[in-house]
Order: sequence, then structure tokens, then C-alpha cells
Amino acid sequence: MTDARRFHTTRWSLVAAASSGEGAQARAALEELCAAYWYPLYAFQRRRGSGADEASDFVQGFFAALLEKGYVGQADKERGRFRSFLMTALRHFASKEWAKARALKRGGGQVHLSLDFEDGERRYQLEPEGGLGAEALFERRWALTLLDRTLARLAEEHRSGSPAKAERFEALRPFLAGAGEVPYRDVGLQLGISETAVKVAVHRLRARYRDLLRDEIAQTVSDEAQVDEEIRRLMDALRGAS
Amino acid sequence: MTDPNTPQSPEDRPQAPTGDEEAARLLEVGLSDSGTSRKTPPPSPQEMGEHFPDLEILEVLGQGGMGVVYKARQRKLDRLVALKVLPRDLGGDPAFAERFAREARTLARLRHAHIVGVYEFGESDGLYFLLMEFVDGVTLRELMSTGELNAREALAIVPQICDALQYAHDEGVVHRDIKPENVLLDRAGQVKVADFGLAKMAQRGPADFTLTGTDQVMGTWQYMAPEQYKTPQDVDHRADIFSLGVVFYEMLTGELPVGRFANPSEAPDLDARIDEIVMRALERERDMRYQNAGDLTTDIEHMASGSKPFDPEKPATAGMAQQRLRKLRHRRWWHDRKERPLSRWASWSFWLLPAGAFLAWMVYLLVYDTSDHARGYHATKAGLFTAIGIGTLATLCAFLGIRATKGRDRPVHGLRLSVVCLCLAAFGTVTCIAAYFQEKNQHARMLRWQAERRLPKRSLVDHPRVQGTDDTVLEHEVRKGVREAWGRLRLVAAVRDLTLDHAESADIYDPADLRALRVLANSDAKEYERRLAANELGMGFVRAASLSSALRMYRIESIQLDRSQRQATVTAYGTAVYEGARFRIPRLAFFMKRADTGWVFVVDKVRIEDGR
Repeated sequence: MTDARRFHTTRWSLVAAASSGEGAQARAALEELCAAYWYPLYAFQRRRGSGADEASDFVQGFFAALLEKGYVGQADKERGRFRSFLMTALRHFASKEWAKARALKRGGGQVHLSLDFEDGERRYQLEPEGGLGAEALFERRWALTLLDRTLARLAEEHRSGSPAKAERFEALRPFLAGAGEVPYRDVGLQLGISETAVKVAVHRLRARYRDLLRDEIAQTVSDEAQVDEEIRRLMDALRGAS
Repeated sequence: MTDPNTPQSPEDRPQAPTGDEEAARLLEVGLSDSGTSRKTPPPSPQEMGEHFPDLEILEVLGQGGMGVVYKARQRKLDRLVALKVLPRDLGGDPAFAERFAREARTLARLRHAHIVGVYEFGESDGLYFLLMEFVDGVTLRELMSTGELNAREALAIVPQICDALQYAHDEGVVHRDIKPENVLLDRAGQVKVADFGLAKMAQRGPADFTLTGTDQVMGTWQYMAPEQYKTPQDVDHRADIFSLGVVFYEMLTGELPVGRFANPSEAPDLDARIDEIVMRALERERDMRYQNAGDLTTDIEHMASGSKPFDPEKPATAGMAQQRLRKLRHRRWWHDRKERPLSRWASWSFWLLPAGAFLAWMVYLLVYDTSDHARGYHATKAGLFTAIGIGTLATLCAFLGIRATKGRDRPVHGLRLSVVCLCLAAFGTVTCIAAYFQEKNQHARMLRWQAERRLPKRSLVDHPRVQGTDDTVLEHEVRKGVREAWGRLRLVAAVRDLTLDHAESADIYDPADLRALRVLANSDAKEYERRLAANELGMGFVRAASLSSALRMYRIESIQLDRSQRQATVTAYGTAVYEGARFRIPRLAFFMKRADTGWVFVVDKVRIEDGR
């Protein structure tokens, strides 16, 4: 039960449990989380009207403040979920600290995460124009980043195996989200296995995917019980994006 | 396990889900109760047959989170039934048995052409089961997956579902899990809605079960109204209307209304008016949705009957007559055909207001018209308060009326109500103002009349100063002053004639008054002592007077004016009745002094004259 063990030391629960600025492990975990979920923040800031350079400076500045000053200690109420914590902290940062931090930054040596803002900007350019508010965009992006990471992990697991395994993964991937366009039989023919075998493979893939997704979400909440709730909230965010 | 924390290069990212709908579905897989997690094969008909000796169990019809459904034959009646066996683990919940019985009884009461009937329910060997009507046909899901469902058929199906929902809602049952899997169509094309209230029975999320949910990975969150997962404890019949909206949309377009979804009319052969209907059913705010299923039917029929793309020729189902009846029942005179009924409060306040206003007006008229002057004054005041009260209430209702309909595309009804309310408020206000002026006028007329009768020339009001005015006027003022001062006068007046003996025998004074009387009776007493005693006695008399209105009448005998001193000497006498004894008040003289406010009685200038 690796998953169960992981749960007690998920990154966010680790971060949230440590008091501010304490514990190298907690800090590393926070850094990891920030590196993983920076893009929704970037998109949020861009949507709020910042230019590309300013937004990347802002995100860096925010993470620097987060990692150095231990904002975590100040956001007790929002400890439940990393996502809402980030949003609260970001608002606080934007209103109070940003000007200060920017002035300091010119002074020199700060934490610097290596984030690919150029790629971020390319992705932002693909965001649909208008319609979505900054916060809605943030939540939507968050959900998509989460799925992105989960699928990447799943893909990684399969690609690290034999080429046949990778091919099978590619063929079965459409079935993750429910019945695909292509009938099982056709996929079976393509992969040279029986229809039943396809069903079994899909089932296994889905089960693995589900574990990974829950694990990924668990990294950002402090309690396993919150995973389902978080999923529902994100689903609502996607659904409400109309 | 690798952890791709490093920023991914764009080439890695074709994994990312493309549409919001797909993304949401991918997320949904992660739910702990999603379909992937339960995959135990259902017990075979033979195994199940051991628990139900009265039934010949034929085959498995479907399996879902809420149990397994078997096709079975009741041996005695030789009829086909559907047997739904609930999951065994539900029985572990001690409260379940009671809840199950209660809900099942409610469901068994539902008898409707479009609702799958419940024949029997109970528990057998720890298995909870429902014996239901067997519907020989397909589910709406199956029908939709053939791709042969066209808009016309959809428009024939939805009213039947509405019919079933309306009936159930009237009976107080909310389905909570309307989705294509729960809508069955028999061979005659009749719609039958299944699994009413089962979600509540199990107190699980509806994502948990389907009637025919064979391997359905796609749960039912897509059909859930927002309030169902936001505030599950506060769900009413309007949640069903949302779910029906999703089903409707899916029937028309083949897609789910997720993310930024297109208008249904963008699909071929669809009238643009359908958009409004579907979108209104799909309002995220339930107050904005159709408030009952019947309204949805009405709108669909209205659209279909007047439109070209849809053939008005629809199969005359048993439900149609009922629909018409209900339509008549729901359409009152104030319901414009296109308008939606207001929420309940607005309807009753609509009646309350005119009724209240009418009542208040009647009371006012009654009191006012039959009354004398003083009562007229009070009636005016009462009328004023009533008018203000009604006006406030009406304004409040108008405001609420506007608010209740705000944001709707046709706030006509609210506006109409508001106008009525505002008119009432205006009426009340005008009435009250009119009454006030009438009253004031009357009072003024009376004063004038009095003044004219007694003072042929000028009224008192015109003569604030003593100097230069007519004696008659001044006298009149003094009389007024005496009247006002009489409360104090009467006691002093009493002193002269009430001898000590008389007082003691009448036993009307308290000891302090008696003492004062003795001082007054003593001719040796000094002037200031007498005056003090007179005052003291006065206080006692005032007390007595206030208790039983001792003084009955008085009469002013003469008034002598002294212009230079701004004084008047008044001689008066009267009678007083106290505790049944009648006293004569002898003649007395006193001073009235002109002050800024009028003539005042000066206590220390009272002279008690010998009346004998």
C-alpha cells in the first residue's frame, strides 16, 4: 500500500504541519508544489492585466516571498487545500508585498525557481480570449494542470517499459474518459489482442490512472477525506466555465 | 515512481485533455465512488432465486451502484416483474431499514402512467429488494446511443417526463437522479421514469447507482443540479428540472451541456425558441429555473404548436389530457400566457394588500363619520397610521416584487404587481393627507364659530397683547385662563366656606389637610401661615379632585381688568361634589396675570372674600 503510506506525508500536509520557515523537508515540498502549479498563477496574473514580464516577475516574487517569509504560517484557515491557500496568499501578496518585494529584488540574492516562463507565455496565448474571469481561469487551469501531471505520470510509467507497452497506452488513452469513439474491437485489432483483453487493459489503466489522480490531488490537500470534495469543486470549476 | 516536476516541454503535452468536458470526465474517474471501483459480478439468477421462492428469476437486466435488477416472473400472478436487489452493504446501516421502509412506502403510492410502479418491497435473508413493474423496452440512453433520436421524438418524450415529475413533485417526491438511464421507453413508445427517490433512500450521491448502469463509467454528476453537490441537504424538486434540462439538451444535441456549450438550436432542424426553454431549465440558480415541471411542458407545447420545424401532430398520449387539465389549473387570470407564476409570497401579498387597505378604509370611515370632534381627531390619527403602515407594506412588497423578478427576461409580472402596490401606497397616503386637512379645517371652523358667537368682532388669536385690545376680548382670555387654572383654583375656593366642623364631620381630609384647615380657621394665624396652609390644602384638594372630579361647576361672577398692572381680578363661585357630599364654593376673588403664554392664575394673590 504505497499510496496509503504516501498519504501521511503528502507534500501539502507536510508543509501545512510545519510552522513557518521550519523544516528543510517542508520547504522542499513547498518548492516542489510551487514548481508544479505555477502556471495557473501565471495565467491568473496575466488575466488580471499584467504583461508577460511583469507576470513572471510577480510569480517569482510571490514564490520567493512564500518560501522565504513562510507565508504558510499566516494562512491557517486555508490550510485545508493548497489551491485555496495559494489564492489567499497571492491576494495578500498582491495587495501588500509586491511593491516591496520588487524593490528588494533589485537589491539582489533571492530564491529563484527555474520556471519556464517562455513556455508559460506560449501556453497563455492559447487561452481562450475573454469570458473567463481571472479566478475562474485560475481554477480551470489548476484542474487542467492537475490532469496534465497525472497523465504525464501515467504516460511516464508506460513509456519507461517496452515500446509495445507505450503503443498500447497511446491506443487506450482515449478510453480513460469513458467510452471512446473507437469500439473496443477495433482497438483490439490494432493492438493484436482480443476485445476482452482490451476491456481488461482499459480497466487496469483506468484503475492506475485513478490512483495516480487521487494521489496527485492528495498532494495538495491536507486530508484524504478532502480528495473527493476537491474533485467535485474542480469539476464544478470546469463546468461553471461556461 | 517518477515525478515530472520539471516543466514539461510542449511536445510532452498532447496528453493534456482538450475540452472541458473531457477534462471533467477525467477528473470524475478519480472520485472514490466512481464506477471503476466496483466491479463485482452480480449474483446469478439461480443464486438469487434461492432467496425469492415466489419468483422465477429469468435474467440480469442491469447492475449499478444501487444494486442489481433482475427480470423475473411472479409465479402466482404469472406476470413479469423487475426485481431490484439493493447492495448487501446497505443493510449494515441500522437506520437504513427504517428509511427504506418509509421511502418505499412513498414510492409505492406513486401511481402514474409515466412512472415505473413499485409493487412490493421488503427484506429477504438480509437482502433489501423492490419489486417493480417490468418495462419491456429500452432506456433512453440506449435509444440515444443508436443515434436515431430526432428532435421531434425528443419533444414528445420530454413532456412525458415532465408529467411524471410534476405528479411526483405534487406528491412530495423528488427523483434526485434523472438521467437517460432512468428513463425507460416501452414498446409502445410510452415513457416510464424509474428509480424515484432511490437516491434519497440510500442517502448516497446519485453518482452511485444507475438502474441499468452496466459498466457505466460515466457517472451522473453531469446530470446533477449545482445545488446537489454544493448543498446536498437542501435539494428540492427544481433539481429534477435541472437534470431534465441536461437530458433534454443531450437528446437534442447528443452532447452534454458542459463548459461553454453551444445553444441547442445550433443543431440542425431546431427552432431558436428551444434555446430559451432548455437554457431556462439549465439555470444554475434554481430560482431562475422553471419552478415546476408543468411550466416546461407548457412552454414546449406552446413552441411546438406554433412552429413550422416541429410537426404539431403528436401522438395523443394518456398524459396529454392531464397536461391540458393541469395547464388550465395553473393558468389563473393574472398569469399571462407567457409569464411565469410568481413565487408564493407574491401571490398572497397580491390579495392581502387590497384587502387590508379596504378593511382599514372601512374602519376609518366608520369611526370618523359617526364620531364627534375628539373621536374624529383620533380617527384621523388612526387613519394616518393605517395609511402609513399599508403604504410601507405596499412599498416593501413592490420592492420585493421587483427583486423577485429581477434578472428574468420578462419581469412584467413583478412590475405589474409593483405598480398595483405603489398605487395602493399612493392611495393610502393621499387619503391620510386629505383626512388630516379635513379634520384641521373642521377644527378651525369650530373655533371660528365659537369665537364669532361669543366675540362678535375679533378672534382671540388676533390679539396677543393686552394693551389696546377690547375689554371683551381680554375678558374672554381671562375666562380661558380661569378655566385652565381651575384645577388649582377650586381648592382655594373651597377653603372659605368649609368650616373645620364641616370638614371633620364630612371626614374628607387627610390629617395634613385638616391641619391646614385649622390654621385657616384660626383668626390669629399670621398671613404667611395662612397662605402656606392654603397652598398645602390645595395640594390635597387637587389629589381629591383628580380622584373623583370633585368640582362640578363654577361660575365667574365678574372680571375687573387692570390694564396698567396687566392683571385681572376675578370673582367666582361654584359647587363641588366630593364622595357624595355637595359643597358650595363661596365667592372668591383672585388675580389673573397676563404672561406671554396667556392669562395665568397667581396663587399668592388669591383673596378669599367673605361670602356671608
